[in-house]
Amino acid sequence: MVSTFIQLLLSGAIAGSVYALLAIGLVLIHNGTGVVNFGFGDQLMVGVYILVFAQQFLGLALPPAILVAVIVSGLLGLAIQSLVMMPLRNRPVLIPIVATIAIGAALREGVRAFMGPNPWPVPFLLSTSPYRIGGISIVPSDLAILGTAIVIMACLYVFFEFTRYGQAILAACANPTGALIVGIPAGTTTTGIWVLSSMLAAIAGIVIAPLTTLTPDIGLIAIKGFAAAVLGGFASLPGAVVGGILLGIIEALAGYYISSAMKDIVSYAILIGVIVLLPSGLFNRVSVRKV
Amino acid sequence: MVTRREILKVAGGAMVLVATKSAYAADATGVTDDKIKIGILGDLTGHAAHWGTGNLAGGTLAFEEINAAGGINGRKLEWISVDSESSAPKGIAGFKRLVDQEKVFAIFGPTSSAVGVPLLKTMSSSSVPIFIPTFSSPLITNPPVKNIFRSGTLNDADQGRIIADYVASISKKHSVAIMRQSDEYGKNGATNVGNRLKEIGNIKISEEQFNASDTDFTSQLLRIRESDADIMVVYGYPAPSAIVMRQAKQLGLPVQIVGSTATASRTYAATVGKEAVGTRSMTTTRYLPEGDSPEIVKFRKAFEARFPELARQTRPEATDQLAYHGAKTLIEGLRRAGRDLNREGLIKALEGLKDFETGIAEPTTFGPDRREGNRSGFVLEIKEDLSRTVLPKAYSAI
Amino acid sequence: MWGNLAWVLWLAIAALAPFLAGQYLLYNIGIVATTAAIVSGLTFLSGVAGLISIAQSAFVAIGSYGAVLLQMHLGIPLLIGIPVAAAIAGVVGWLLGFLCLRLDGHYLALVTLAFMGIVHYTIINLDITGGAVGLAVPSVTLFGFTLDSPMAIYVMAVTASAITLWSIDRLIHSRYGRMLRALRQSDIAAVSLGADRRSLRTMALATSAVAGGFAGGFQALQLTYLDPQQFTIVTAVFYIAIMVVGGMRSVHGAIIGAAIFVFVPGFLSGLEHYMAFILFFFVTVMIVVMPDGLVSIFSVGDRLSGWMASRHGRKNA
Repeated sequence: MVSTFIQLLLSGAIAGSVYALLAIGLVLIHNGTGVVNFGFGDQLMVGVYILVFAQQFLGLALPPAILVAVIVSGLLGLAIQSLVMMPLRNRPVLIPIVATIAIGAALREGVRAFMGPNPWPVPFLLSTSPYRIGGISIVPSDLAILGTAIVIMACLYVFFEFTRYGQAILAACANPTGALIVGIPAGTTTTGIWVLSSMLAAIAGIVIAPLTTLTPDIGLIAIKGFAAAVLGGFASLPGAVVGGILLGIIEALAGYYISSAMKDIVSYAILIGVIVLLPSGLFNRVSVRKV
Repeated sequence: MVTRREILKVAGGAMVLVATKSAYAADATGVTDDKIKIGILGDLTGHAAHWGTGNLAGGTLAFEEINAAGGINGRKLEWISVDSESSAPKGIAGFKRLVDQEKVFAIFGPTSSAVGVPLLKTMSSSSVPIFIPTFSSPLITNPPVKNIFRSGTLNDADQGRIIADYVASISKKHSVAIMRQSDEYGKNGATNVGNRLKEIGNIKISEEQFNASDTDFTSQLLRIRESDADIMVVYGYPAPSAIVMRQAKQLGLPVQIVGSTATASRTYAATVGKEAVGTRSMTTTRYLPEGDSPEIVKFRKAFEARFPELARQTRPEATDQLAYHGAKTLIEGLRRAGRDLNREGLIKALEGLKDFETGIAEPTTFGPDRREGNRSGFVLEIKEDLSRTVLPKAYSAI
Repeated sequence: MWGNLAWVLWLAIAALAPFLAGQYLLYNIGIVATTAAIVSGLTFLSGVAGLISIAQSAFVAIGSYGAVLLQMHLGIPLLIGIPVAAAIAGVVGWLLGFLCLRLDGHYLALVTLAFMGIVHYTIINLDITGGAVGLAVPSVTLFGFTLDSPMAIYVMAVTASAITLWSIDRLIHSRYGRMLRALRQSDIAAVSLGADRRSLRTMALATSAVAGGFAGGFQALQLTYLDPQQFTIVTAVFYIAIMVVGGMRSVHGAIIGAAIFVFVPGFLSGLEHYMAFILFFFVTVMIVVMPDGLVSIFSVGDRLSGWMASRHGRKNA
C-alpha cells in the first residue's frame, strides 16, 4: 500500500517534470515577451529530429549531435523571433499567438513530410533498467527528466536573480521604456529570450523523447505544459516546475485511486478551479493593469 | 448543377431505385478504350499520414508494375491521388471530388477509420467500387455493403476475437488484463477481446484505459500488477503502447504482453527499447516486410528502388505491404472482369475471388455476402536482438 | 462601401453556384458558408470584444449533438432541434462567461481550453453520444419529403449561414458592438463611461455560442456524421486561425478565411505530403505580412488616401 503510494508519487513527479520542462519554456517566453508560444511543443519536437538527423544522416556521435540540435534550435528561435514575432509585436495579442500556432503546425507537417510519419527510435541518455528499492522501481532515464527540469530551473533562477544580464532582461520586460532610457535596446532582450527558450526546448525534447517515442506529433504534449504553467501562476519559473510536478502527481493519484478514465477530467477540472478561484495561480503576486 | 438524377430522386422512390440499379450495371464511368481511372483517397498529411502514405506508395508501385507489364486486358491504369488530411470533412470532400469531378472508375482507400466511418453513408449510397487495404473498423464490412471491399488487414472485431483465442490458450492463471486506448480504436478492440473471452468462459478480465497522448501509465499498471493477471493485452497506438510495454517491464509486472497490430511495425521494438524482448503482437500476415520469402524480397527491393526517401525511413512497413497486396488484388479483380469492363462487372469479379494469393499478405476471399478479404492473423514475437519472428500458428476469426 | 459590395458578391456566389458548379465545388462552397458562420461567432467574441476563446468547437458540438439527439430520442425534427440546441449552447456560453468574468488574456484562453477538453471528453465517454464512434446524422424530413439530396442540404446550410453571418454583422455594427469595442480597448475606461462589463461579457460569449451551435448544426447535415475528432482543441484552434488569416474584425474576414482553408489545400495537392507544410508556411507569412487579415487588402485604399491626406496636413475622419 505504502510502496504503491510512493511509486505513484515518484512516477507522477517524473511525468510532472515532463510538464515542468514544457512549462518553463512557456513561462520564460510569456514573462519575457508577453506572448504564449503555442508552437513550443513543436519546437521541442524539431530539436529532437535535428538530433536524429545529425546522428543518422550526418553520422555524428551523440554528444556533438546534441550540441548541433541545441544550436540549430536556438537559431530557429532567432529566426522565428526576428522574422515573425518582431514585426507583430504591436498587434493585438491574439495575432502573435496565432502566428505561433501556424509556425508550430508548419514545423510539425514539415517534419512529417521530410522525416516520415512513423515513430523514430531515439537513444536514451541513461539506463532504462530499474533499481528496486523496497518494492519501488526507480529508473535512471526517468530521473534524468526530473533532474533536467530541476537543474534548468536552478540555472535560470540564478541567471535571472543574480546576474546582471538576467536582471537587465527582467527589467526590460517589466518596463520597456525605462529599460530603453538606461540603454537596454528593446529587441535584444526579446531575442535573447527566444533563443534561450528554443535551446531549452531542444534540451527538454532530448530528455523526454526517448520516453515518449518520437513522432511529429509529440509537440501536442505542450497542452499539459500550459496547465502546469497556470497552476504555477505563470509568474515564476520555480512556480512552473512545482506546478508541473504537482499536476503529474495529481494525475497519477487520481488515475489510481479514482479511475483511469477520470485522469484527464481531473486535470481540466483542477485547471478551471485554480483559474477561477485563484486566478494568480498558487504562487503569485497580482499585478495592476493600467488603463 | 441540378442533374436529371436529382429531379428523379425527388419525384419518387421507386423510380430512383430503378434508375440507380440500372445505372449501376452498365456503369463504365472512368473506363475508356485504353485507360482505367482509379482514385486514391488517403491521409497524406495529418496524424494518420502513416497509413495514407503507405496506401499511395504501395498502390503506386503495383499500378506502375502492371502498366509496365502491358496493362489489364489492353488498358493501362491511370490514377489520381487526393489527400483526406486525416479529417472526415476533407475525406468527404475528397471522395466527392474523385467521384463527381474526376469521374474515377473505382476508389483505392480511404485509409483511416476517422475518415472511413463518417464516409460510410456517402460511400454506400454511391455506386463506385471501393477497395480498402488498410483501415480496420468493422463497421465498413459488417453489414456488407455491395460496393465496399477490404483485403489484407484484419478488422478490429476479428482481431479482438483472435487475440482472445490466443491469450486464452496461453494464460495459465486464466486472468487477462486489457490495457486499452480511450478512443474508438481501443474501445472497439477491448470490447471484442472481452466478449470473446466471456464466450470462451472461465477467464477473469480486468480493464484499464489510457489516452493516446499520455506519457505515464503507472496508475493503471500498478492496478494490473495487483490483479492476478498473467497476460496483458495492450490495445492502442504505437507511441503510448511503447511506453506501456516499457513501464510494465520496469514496474516488474509478471505478465506476457500481447499488443494489437498497431505494435507490429518494423521500428516498434526499437522505440520501446530492450524491454520489448519477449513481447508479442498480433499481425495480419505471416510475411514480415523485412522477411526473406521470395515475393516479399522482390517487393522490398522494388519499393526501396522506387521510393528511396521512404526507404531511409525504414520502409516498406506493414502499411506499404498491405497497400501493395490490396492493389494487386484489385488489379486481379479488374483482370477477371474482362475487356467489357463496368462497375457491376468489377464487383462480380471481386466476389469471385477465393484464396487469391499474392505472397505479400494473407490470401483474399470474397463472396456474394462477404466483403472482408482476410479473417486470419498471426502472432509475432520480439527476439533477444530486437528482431521479429512470426510464430507459425494461424488464428482464424471464422 | 466595400462591405456592401462584398455582401453582393457572397450572395451572387451562393445563388449561382447550384447552376454553375459541379457537385464537388457546390459541396465545398456550402462548407465554406457554414464554417464562416461558425467562425463569425468567434469574430464577434474575439475580434470585436477582444476575448480569447478556444472553445468554439465545444459550442459547435453542443449544437450538432444536441440537435441530433433531440431528433433521435425526443423525435424533435432537426430543423427545429438545431435552433433549440443552439439556444442551449447559448445558455452554456452565458454560464461560461459568468465563470470567466474576472479573467483575461491567457487565463481566459486556458479556461476555454479546459472547457473544450471537458466537452470533448464527455462526448467520448457517454454512450448516448455514441462514444468514440460518433453518430450518423439523420436526414431532414419536411412535410413528408426527405431532404437529403446535395442540393437540398446546400440550400439549408447556406440559408442558415447567411442568417448567422448577417446577424453577427448587424451586431458588430450595433450599439452592442460599439460598447464591446470600447470594452476591448480599455475596460476600465469603458466601465467608467457606463458600459456594464458583466452583462456585455456574458452576452458576447453567449452570442458566439449560439452562432457556433446554430451554424454547427447545419454543418452536421453537410458532414452526415458526428465524429468526436471534429470537436477537439485542434479544431477550435483551427477556427481561430481562420479568423485571424481572413481578418479578425469583420464577418467578411471569416468568409475569406474559411474559403482559404477549404480551397487552398486542394490547389496545393500536387505537393502531396508536403501540402500541409506549405499551407501553414503560407499562413505564417500571411499573418506577418497582413496581420489584420486578408480583408485588410480592401481597406488599403482607404488607408492610402488617409495617409496621403495626413501628409498634406489634413486629417481624414
